[in-house]
This record gives sequence, C-alpha cells and structure tokens, in this order.
Amino acid sequence: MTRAERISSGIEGLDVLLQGGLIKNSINSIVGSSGTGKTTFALAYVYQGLLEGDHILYLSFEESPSKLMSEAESLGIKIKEIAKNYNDLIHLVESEKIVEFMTNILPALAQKLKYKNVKHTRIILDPLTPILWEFPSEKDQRKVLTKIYHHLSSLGTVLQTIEEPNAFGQTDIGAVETRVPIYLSDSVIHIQNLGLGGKYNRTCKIVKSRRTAHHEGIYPLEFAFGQGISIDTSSVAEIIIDSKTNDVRYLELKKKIKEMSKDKDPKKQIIAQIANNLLGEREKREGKENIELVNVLTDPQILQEVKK
Amino acid sequence: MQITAGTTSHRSINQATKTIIKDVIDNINGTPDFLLVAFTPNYQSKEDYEYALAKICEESGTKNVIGGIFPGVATSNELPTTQGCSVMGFKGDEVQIQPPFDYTNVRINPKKGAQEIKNAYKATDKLSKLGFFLTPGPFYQTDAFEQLKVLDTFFAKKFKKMFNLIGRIINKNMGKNGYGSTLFADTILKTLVEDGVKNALGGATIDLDMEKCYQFSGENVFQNALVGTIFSSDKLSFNNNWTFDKSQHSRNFFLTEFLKSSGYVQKINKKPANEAFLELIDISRDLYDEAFGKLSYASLLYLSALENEYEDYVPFVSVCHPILDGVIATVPEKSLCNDNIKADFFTQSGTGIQKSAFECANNLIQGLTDLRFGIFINCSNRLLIAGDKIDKENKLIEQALGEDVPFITLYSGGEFSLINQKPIYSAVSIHGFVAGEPTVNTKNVVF
Amino acid sequence: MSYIQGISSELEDLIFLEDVEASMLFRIDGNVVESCFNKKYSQELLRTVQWCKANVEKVSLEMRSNNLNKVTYELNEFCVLFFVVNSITILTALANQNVNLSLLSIEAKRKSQIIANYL
Repeated sequence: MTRAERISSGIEGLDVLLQGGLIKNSINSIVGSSGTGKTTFALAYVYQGLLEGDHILYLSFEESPSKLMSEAESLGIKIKEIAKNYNDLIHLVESEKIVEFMTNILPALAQKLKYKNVKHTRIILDPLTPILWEFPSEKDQRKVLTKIYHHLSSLGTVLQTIEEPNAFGQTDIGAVETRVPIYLSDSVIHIQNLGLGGKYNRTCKIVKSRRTAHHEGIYPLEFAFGQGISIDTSSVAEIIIDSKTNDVRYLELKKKIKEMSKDKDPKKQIIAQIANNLLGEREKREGKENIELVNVLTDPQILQEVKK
Repeated sequence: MQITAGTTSHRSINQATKTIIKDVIDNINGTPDFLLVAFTPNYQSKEDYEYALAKICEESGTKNVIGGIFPGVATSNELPTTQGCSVMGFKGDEVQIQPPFDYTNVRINPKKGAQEIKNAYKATDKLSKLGFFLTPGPFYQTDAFEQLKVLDTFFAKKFKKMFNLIGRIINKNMGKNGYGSTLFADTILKTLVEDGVKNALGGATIDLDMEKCYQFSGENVFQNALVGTIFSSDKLSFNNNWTFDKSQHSRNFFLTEFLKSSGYVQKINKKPANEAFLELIDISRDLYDEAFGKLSYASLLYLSALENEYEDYVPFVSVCHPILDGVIATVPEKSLCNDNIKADFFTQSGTGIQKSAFECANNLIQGLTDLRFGIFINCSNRLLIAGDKIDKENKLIEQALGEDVPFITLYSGGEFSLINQKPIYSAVSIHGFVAGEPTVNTKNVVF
Repeated sequence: MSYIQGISSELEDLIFLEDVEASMLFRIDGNVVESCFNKKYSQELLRTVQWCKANVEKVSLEMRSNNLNKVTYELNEFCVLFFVVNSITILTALANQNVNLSLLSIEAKRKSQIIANYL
C-alpha cells in the first residue's frame, strides 16, 4: 500500500481510525441523520485547517455564516479567534441558485483559485443533500458530482456532509438518496445517534476509506467542548501499540483478501467480503487465527457451499 | 466474630483465586481460623486446583481449609457463578471450627468415613455442634447395570445426547469401580445416627459431566475423599433443616419392579415404567420427546418421593427415556427393599423452587436472633431448572436471613442432613444451617 | 484496564464455557461492539454469526417492545442466546446445541450485568 499524504481531520480519534488522517485531495463524506453532529464535524475540520494555515472554502447550502459561527462558539470551536472575517470563509448558497452554482459558478471558482496558486484548500460542502434534491436522477447526480469533485479535489481536500434519510436506529447506509455521493467518495464516515443514552449511543464508523487499512468497528463519539467532537479510540490505541497489528501474517491476510475481492469469480468476492467483515470486527485476533480463518474461507468445500 | 463471604468469576483459575484472596480473604484482619472454599468444575485439571489451594493457604496463612467443586457457587450479595470461586472465611471465638479431617476411599468404605465425622464430633463438648462434610459425587458401582448389559453400548450412545446429565453418568462411568453414590451417602448418615451424632450437614461435590470431582482439605486435592469439620459453640445455637418444592403434588403410584443395584425402575403400577411415567405426567410420547429431547434437565422437573420412617416424602429424580422401558431414578438402593413401594409424584417449577428456598431459610431462623452466618447445600438440578433466575432464590434466602448475614450456597450432586438424629438424603432439595444467638426463653423470666 | 478490554475479557470468559463457540456484544442496530470467537472456525458458525448480525436489530426491537430479557433461538447446529445488557446493547452467546442452556444463561446474565457497568 503506497503511503498517501494525509491531513489531520481535526476530530480527536478520527485520525487514529484512518491511519493518520484524511488523504490529501480526496473526497470525504460524513453521513448521518439530523442531530448526529455532521456540521460540528465540518466546523472542527475548518478549525484544524485554520490552525494549519490552510485555505478554507466552506459552502453552506442551508445555514447562514453567522448561525454556523454561533454554533461553533457554543461548542468552544474558536474559529472566530483565528479568522476575524468569517464571511470570507463561509459562503451561503441559496437554494434557488444551487443548480447554477454547481454547474457554472463552482467550476469557474475552482479554476480561478487554481490559477491563483492557492495553497492546500479545505473545501466543505454542508450539506450536500439539497444538491442531490436538485438532481433527482442518479445519472445526473453522478454527472454533476464527478465534474465538481474533479475540480475540487485538484484544489484540496473535500469534506461533505450528507443527510441520512433513514428513520431512527436504522443503518441502511446504501439508501437510494445517498448512494451516488457515497459511491463517488474516497472515504465515508457514518455517524449515528440512537437517542437512548449510554456509551454506544452516539457512534462513528468508517464505512469506506480507499487506500487505507482503516479500523472497522464502531466507536463511541461524544461532543466535547473546545474540539467539537471526539471519538473514543481507546480500544484502537492499544492495538497500535500491540505488535500483532503489524504482524506480517495479518498484512498477508489483508493482502489475500484484497486479491480475492478483485477476483472475477463472484464466489471469491463474496468470501472476501465476509472475511473483511469478520476481520474488521476482530482486529485483535491473533495473526495465526486470521490465517486459519482465511484457510477456512478458501476451503473448496465451502466454495461449493457458497455456490449453492 | 469476623465472617466474610464472596464470589469471583474468571475463565482462569489463577485470576479467580487472586481476586478471591484480595477481595474476600484479605478482608479478615489477621489469619483466618477457617476457610470454606468452593470452585466450579470448569478448570478441570487437578494441578490447577492444587495450585489455587496452595496459593490460598499461603496467602491466608491457614491450612484449615475444606471445600470442593460444585457446578454453581454463590454467596450473599453476589450473583451465582458457574465459572469461578466462592469463599467463606471465619475468625473469632464465638464458633470453634475444628481442623479439617479427611478420609480417602469413602466410596469403598463409607462406614469408616462416618467414623471420622463421629470422632471429630465427639472430640468437642460444646453445647451446640454440627458436623459439616463434603463427599465425592454420584458414581455407579461396578455391577450397577449388570442386568442391562445386552443393551449397554446401544444405550450409552443414545443417552449421551438426549440426557446430558444422567446419560453421561451411564456413558462414562458404567462399569467403573466404585460405590453407588446414593448408597454411600445413605450409609454414612445411618452410621452417624447409630453413633449418636445429632446434627450434620453435607453435600456431594460434582461435575455435571460426571467426570472427575474433587474435594479439598488444607492444601490437598482428593478425588474420592470425605472432607469435613465440626462447627461448635457455647454461645451460639445452630439450626439445620431441609426442604424441597412440594407445591405441585399430583398423585401416588407404586414401584412394582426395579433393579436393586442401581435405582433403575422397571415397572410402575405393574406397567412398563416408561409408559406409566408418561401417564403420570399426562403427556404423549411424541410431545415428551419433542419438548425434552434436547433439554436433559427438563426431565428433572419430575420427582418421585418415597415415604420413609422419618419424613413424609424424600424426593428422588426420575428420568424417562425414549428407548428404555424403565425409568432411571436416584432412589437409594437400600430403599428398594419391598416389592410394592408407594411413591408420590411431584412436579417441580422455578417458582416452587424459589419458594422452597425461602421456606427452608425461614425455618432455619426460628428460635434464633442476631444471625451470624448460613451455609446452604442446594441441588445442582435446581440450578438447572432455575437457570438465570437462580439469583432470585438467593435473594429470597437473603430476605429471610436478613441483609447483612453472610451465607454461601453450594450447588451439589446430593444433599444430606442429620437433623436431631433424623437422616435425610435427598435429591433436588435444599439443605442448610445457620448460626445465631438463641432467643431468650420467656418462660424462664420471673416477674 | 480500559472499558473495552474489560468487555472483551468478560466475553472471553463466556467462550471458555463448554460448548460455547462465540460471544458478541451487539448494538441494537446490528453493529458489533466487541466479539470473541472460539479458535475452531466452521462454515456453519460463520453462517450463524452472519445470521445474528443480520437479525439482531429485529430481535432487539422485539425484546424492547415486549420487555424481554432473554431470547433463545435454535438454528443450524447452534443455539443462539440474546441477553439484554442495557437500552442499546445486547449480549449474544452462540453455542453448540448440546450446551447446557441453564448454566450458560446464568453466566450470560452475570456477564451482561458486568458489561452494563462498563457502558
């Protein structure tokens, strides 16, 4: 796996889960239903960018800049202290202008910034959902988003928030409404709030992260004054110290699964998927046991079973 | 008097031992006088138990330890565990607890085992005294299934899946050397009566797989031994008692034909026992198999109780099996003497079991005040019937004794009591004893 | 010991019981919080694990709406026991059908109470 250049997300714990942070010039999606903390995620991302001296382009499709600022303030994210004139950072795109903005203005803006040789930019699309509504067909969505992503990713690293349409407690992240942006994203972070209290009430899960051997469990998440959101990765921290994670056998196994997932044989793809799921849950399993698992999974008899 | 009781649970015996020492034994200031130690059988290896006991003796500073393995162990204020250890520790002058005695090969010579108890019992002249002993669990004597031999191997295989408990005894221990457990416990109790011992409480160590069961005395781990001690006191009184779930008594029947060597009942009411048994529980063969095919312990819901000279009923387990014509029962062999034995039929329920535990504890506290502690020997079959509701039973005991009274419950493979020279050996029952100050006899107060 | 190590250790205790093949802590939406497996894998076991994962949401909804503490299923060669830990997590023990269910449920109840303290 080639080491990609990464930037810090600004969310405590997330960088650990993503093996160092978001990949530079990638498209990253935060998916979650209302009130899960998507915007807070975005604000923490902005704040980290400001600390690192990045250029910020926050495109808000719903909230006014002042409202977003007061939200940041209430969580102790001191964007105002660093960027005196926040109106330069945050731009409200009104709903009637979305189509024009997406098809003409944004590509032009991106071009302009590119020619200006602006340093790395953090681009925030919050939320992407109104755009998706303007282009109901998946085909159109794909067309518009591919174009936009192409321009934006050459400028910097994109973080977009997507409203999850599902009802309470359901986790059908593959819903029609979110399918296209998820499909086009390099990484997808799913945040949930079950609303029942307790440690695993609010959680974060990395659903997808290209070029990253990310952690696949669900991790408790909480709002933290000063940093917006923090993810409890105490279970992961120990794995990092543990030499088992870097065990060659473990890496070998990951490789084997990856190869299998690319195989044309659909049976092998299914097996790879199952293995990947199980591995994600069992990062702590010993390397040797992992190898055994794959041996079981690649057993010709089991292949027969799957075929059936 | 300092008394501590606690339970710990862990997959590793070393860890469980470490925690029990830290959380329970160390709570006693100074060296404890006596420790009652009960482990669950899941740790299996004898060396493991030896190591654990050595550690307990070393850390506590006393070798006055007895105990054994039981499928479930519990103490007051704790959930019962099936994977861990319970300990009760004593220090103080109110109750004298004699250094433990042990006698190996009790299965071969139960009378000699009873002698050990008697000797220790006679060695103290305190006002109140009670013998406490633990024995090996159920074993079948060599000729137990002699008359079934033709069908042996076939049954052994079939039994294993259908009846985990009884099936496994037969499967694994048929033909092994040894005395039938029911008989040796019975013999011990009767010998004690003859020797003038008044009160005793005992239980059989057991592993539900009927493999090896261990008894502890000091640092020693035995496989076929009787271990015990005598509790005595001038200041405190001891009450002991027993009961079982009598709430659902259905009808009477007669055991008309049986194997005198094993408690295997061939005919009930002159009909094949199996058929008669199903008639008694009023259920069809198919339904019985469907309901209980995989739940071996469900059969334990049915008890046959025999009348004896001391009590109205003493209960024993009856197990019905699809292939056998007879019924397997845990009736002591010596009780099977006449040709027509009247028995009563009881159905056990979770609620009934809980109520009977409360009843037992409630009877125990009569005439006592300021209770110091309690020791209960409960049947492991009751543990199986109750399942995860077993903690309710312990809560009820706690309710009866009072919140701060420490007690320990050992889920055994046989319960024995000698209550004022009345020997009780029974199955699926709860036996217990408590220590407390006798209430002042108002008749003696002169106004 | 971190809370997750504690949970993991409790789950591991369960698979040390005879005939218990796996123990998992699920969130009610089917996400796995922590899990522990017996060293011997089998296709049947994997299939049953997948079944648990796919159905825990349905089961938990049923358990919550009917105020159930414990639900037991028998499927394939296995017996699956769901035990409520708290409002959002469920302890699942997967055992061979010959398992002594009573003993397992005593221990599962014990574990669920300990795990609830961690969460």
